[in-house]
Amino acid sequence: MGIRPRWIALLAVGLVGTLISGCTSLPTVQPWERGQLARWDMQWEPDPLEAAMAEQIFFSKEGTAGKLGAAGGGCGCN
Amino acid sequence: MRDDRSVDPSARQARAPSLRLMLGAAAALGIADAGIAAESSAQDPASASASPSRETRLRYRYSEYDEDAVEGRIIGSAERYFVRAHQFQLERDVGAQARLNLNATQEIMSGSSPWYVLPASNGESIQVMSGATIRDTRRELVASLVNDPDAPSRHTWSASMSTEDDYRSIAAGYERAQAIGPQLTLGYGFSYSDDRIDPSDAIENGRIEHADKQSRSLFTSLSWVLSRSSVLQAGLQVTDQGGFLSDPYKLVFVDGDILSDARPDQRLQSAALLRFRHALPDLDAALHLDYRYADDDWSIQSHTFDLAWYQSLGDDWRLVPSLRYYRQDAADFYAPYFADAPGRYRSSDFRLSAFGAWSGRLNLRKRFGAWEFSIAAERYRSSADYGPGSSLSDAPGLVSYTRYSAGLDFGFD
Repeated sequence: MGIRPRWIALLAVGLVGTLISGCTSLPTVQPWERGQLARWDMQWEPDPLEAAMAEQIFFSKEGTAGKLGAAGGGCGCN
Repeated sequence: MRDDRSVDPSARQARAPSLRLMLGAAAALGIADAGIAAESSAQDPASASASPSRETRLRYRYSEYDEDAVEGRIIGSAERYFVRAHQFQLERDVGAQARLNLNATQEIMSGSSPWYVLPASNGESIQVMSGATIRDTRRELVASLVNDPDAPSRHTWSASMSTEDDYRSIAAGYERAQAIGPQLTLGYGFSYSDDRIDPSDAIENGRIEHADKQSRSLFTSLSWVLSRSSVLQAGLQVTDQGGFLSDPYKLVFVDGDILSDARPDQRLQSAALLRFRHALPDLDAALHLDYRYADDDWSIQSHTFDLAWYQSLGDDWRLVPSLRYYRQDAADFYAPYFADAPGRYRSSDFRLSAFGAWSGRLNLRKRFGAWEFSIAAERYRSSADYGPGSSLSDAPGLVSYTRYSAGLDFGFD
């Protein structure tokens, strides 16, 4: 038993590394060049109601739950 | 989740015409043509600085969730959960600087659920189902307020409440998004929830009469714009749960005795998440890739992969196929049944077993002016064979289901 922090730590290190390299090597995308990023199909959750329902089902049928910032829920657990 | 001894078979019969009726009604409504509805991006870090939309939006979804009958040997009803759900959402500005999001959900649930597992000869097992049809209704209200939704840095406050006959959950959260570079947004926040369960038929069944649990979560994320057409988000989340984390409706076979489910009263979960979005303007499509790794001190490690393709088809039609794979290890106190007495903790809840699950979904959308109509079908199948487990008898209660949904989105200035 016991949590495996090495995975989390590895991932964090990888992210920070990517971030630093990203900051130095990626070209700056100007606000007026972000038309594609503002598209509906480029949102993190284009369909919030579907995302909420799927989250509730996975929460009640699987052993791991949660997405970023998730709060609340209730049970519906049978 | 109430065990209703006076079983009501009509609960399952009223459902058939409802989806068809709704589809017809929705089609009849979809005649308005009031200009193209720009899509809301109010809560999206990657696109916060690009063409925000401040219109009022209304969304509605109706869905039907139907679990397959249990495979293998069973005692009791093989018929499992059926859920009808209605979801409403209102998103609108309040004053010049804030945007309110209200979500209301009602779920009507019926069916029977896995209760405990008996050993059979040859290492096989027999799934015992809950003795009677369970009927319950869950109602949830979630409110959130985003301050400065179009600014690169924002605050979001949220509160929610969910009730069932035997369950009540209240939660609150805060999230901050902060631009920390020309293409980098830092997010962080916390949430807290307080749940109370009052199991039905507690005294007759020797269940705990009241119990509480609390959950505290901290999270952080970085979103960065990789190019004009791609964004990446990485996040970490830690959740600490305390209190009554057992399931009062589940039992465990231990060396000839039937005992209650008993889990630790503490659980610490960590998760790392990656989300990638890539636009393909030439194809008028977008690719979504999500991955989550999670780990906890009950020994459940899991991996979740999500892949979705958003394809515009012209004439305001859109098709969104998606695929998901999930796998987890078993909790270290899980077994379908115990030949010898385990330590302090024991559970035969299939959700704590080693398994994997595949699901596929197809969503078709059509816009008529300010209206968008959406229908979707999903098939989810979980099995010990798809994951680290080995056979059906390790977790005979694993669930597979089919889900259909239909709904409308409406946006106006």
